Amino acid sequence: MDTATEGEKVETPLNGEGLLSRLDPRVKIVLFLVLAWTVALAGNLLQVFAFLPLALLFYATAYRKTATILKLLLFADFFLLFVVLTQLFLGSPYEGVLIFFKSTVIVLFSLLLLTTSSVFDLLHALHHLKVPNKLLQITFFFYRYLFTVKDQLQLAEKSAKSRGFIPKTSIQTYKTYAYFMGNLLLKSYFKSENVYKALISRGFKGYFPVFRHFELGKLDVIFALFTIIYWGVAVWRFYL
Amino acid sequence: MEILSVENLRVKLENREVLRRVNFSLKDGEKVFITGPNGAGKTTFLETLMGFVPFEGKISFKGNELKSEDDFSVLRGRMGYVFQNPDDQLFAPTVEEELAFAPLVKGLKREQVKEIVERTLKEFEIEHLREKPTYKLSGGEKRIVSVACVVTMDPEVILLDEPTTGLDRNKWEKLVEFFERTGSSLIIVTHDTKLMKRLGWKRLVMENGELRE
Ligand SMILES: Nc1ncnc2c1ncn2[C@@H]1O[C@H](COP(=O)(O)OP(=O)(O)OP(=O)(O)O)[C@@H](O)[C@H]1O
Ligand SMILES: [Mg+2]
Repeated sequence: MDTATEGEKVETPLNGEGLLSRLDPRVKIVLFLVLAWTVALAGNLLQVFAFLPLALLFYATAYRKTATILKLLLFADFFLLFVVLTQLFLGSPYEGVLIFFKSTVIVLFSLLLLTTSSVFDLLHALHHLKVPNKLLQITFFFYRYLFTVKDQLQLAEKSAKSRGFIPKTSIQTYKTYAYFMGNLLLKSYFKSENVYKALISRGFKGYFPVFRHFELGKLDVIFALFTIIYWGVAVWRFYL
Repeated sequence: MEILSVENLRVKLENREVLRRVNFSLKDGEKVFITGPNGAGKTTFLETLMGFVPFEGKISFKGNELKSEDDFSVLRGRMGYVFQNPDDQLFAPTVEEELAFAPLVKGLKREQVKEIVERTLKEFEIEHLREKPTYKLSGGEKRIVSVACVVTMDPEVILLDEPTTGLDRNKWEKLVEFFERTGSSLIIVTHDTKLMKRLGWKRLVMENGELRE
C-alpha cells in the first residue's frame, strides 16, 4: 500500500523504494520488533547468521538503493567500532564480534522494514499499535520542524551572504553565527506559538485526523506469513 | 553602461523548468519593475541573480561573467537583496544591529557604521525601533527594516521582492521617496499597481518562466 504523498517521500532514506515500501507499516513494525528482539537475544554467531539470508533477501528488494544502504550501514558501524574495540581490550573479542554482527543485522532490518515507509505513515501505524498519542505527536512535530529549523538556518545564512557576509575566522563571523543561533531559538519559540494558534484556529483537539487509512492487503499477509515461517524455522533450528 | 546582463537563463527546480531562456539587462542607475502572476518565477529570478540557485546560461555584472560561488560572493557585497518574506531576512538581535551588519561586514570603522545606521534610521523614520528585537516588530515594521538593512550596505543594485506589501500610507510614501531618490539601480518585483503608476518606470512581465516587456 502507498499512502505517502510526494513531500513526505523525501523524509526517510528508502521510502518508496521496492516491494517493502508497498507493505502495510503496521505489519512491518511488528515483524521488525520480532526479528530485532530475536537477533538481539542471540548468544552465538550462528544464531545471528541464521537471519542474515532474510536480511539479504529484504535488501534485494531495494538493491537500487545500495549506495544509500551502505552509507547508513557504515555510519552505524562506525560507532559500533568503538564498542568492538572496547570489547577487544576487555579481553572478549568474540563478544565484540558478536555485538558487531548483531547490530549490523538489526540495522539492516530497521532500514529495510522501517525506513521504507514515510515518517507520517510509521507514526500512523504506531497509533494503530496503541502507542500513546501524545508521544506520537511530539515525535511528529519534532520531525516536521527539524526541517524547518534547517531551512531557517539556511535562510539566515542566505540573508547574511546577500549583504556581503563571507564566513572566515574572525570575531565578526563568530558574532554572526551567534546571531543565527539566538535568532533560531527565538524564532522557533515564536513559530511554535504561531503553529499552535494555527492548529487550534482550525479546530485541533489533540489528535490528527488521517485522510487515508491502511488496508491490510494480500501482499501484506503473504509477506507476514513468509517472514514468520522463516523466523519459526530459524528459531527452531538454531535457538532451541 | 550595462551593470547587469542575463542571457538565456534557465533554471530547473525539482525537474521543473521554472525559468526558461530569460534575457535581461539593466543599465547603471536604471530602475525597473517586474510583475506577473503568482508562481511565475519572479522570486526564483532574483535568487538566481544572487547566486543562490543553480542555473544554465550567462549572468554578468559589469561585463564580468559570474560562474563560481566566489564570483557571486564578491558580487553580493555590491548587490543588495530584499527578501519577499522579511521574517526570513532578519536575524540580528535588534534593529540597530540589523542595520549595522552589512557595513560591519564590509570592514568599515565603528564611527562610520554608527553614522550610516543613524542616517538610515532617520531616513525611514524608524528611530523609535532602534533597540527593538527584530522578532517583536509588526509586519509593516519588519518590511521597512528589511529594506533599511540592505540600504545600509550601499549597494550598486538592489533587488526588492514585493517591498511595499503591508505598509501603511506613511511608510509606503517613505519607501517610494527612497526609490525615487536613490542612485542605486533597482529591480522591484511587485503587484502594487499604484506604485508602478506613480513611478512610471519600465515594466517587465514574468509569465510561465519567461520575461517580456
Ligand atoms: N525550492 C523550490 N523547489 C521546487 N520548486 C520551487 C521552489 N521554489 C519555487 N518553486 C516553484 O517555482 C515556481 C516559481 O516560484 P517563484 O517563487 O519564483 O514564484 P513568484 O513569481 O515569486 O510567485 P509569487 O508572486 O507568488 O511570489 C513556482 O511554481 C514554485 O512552486
Ligand atoms: Mg515571489
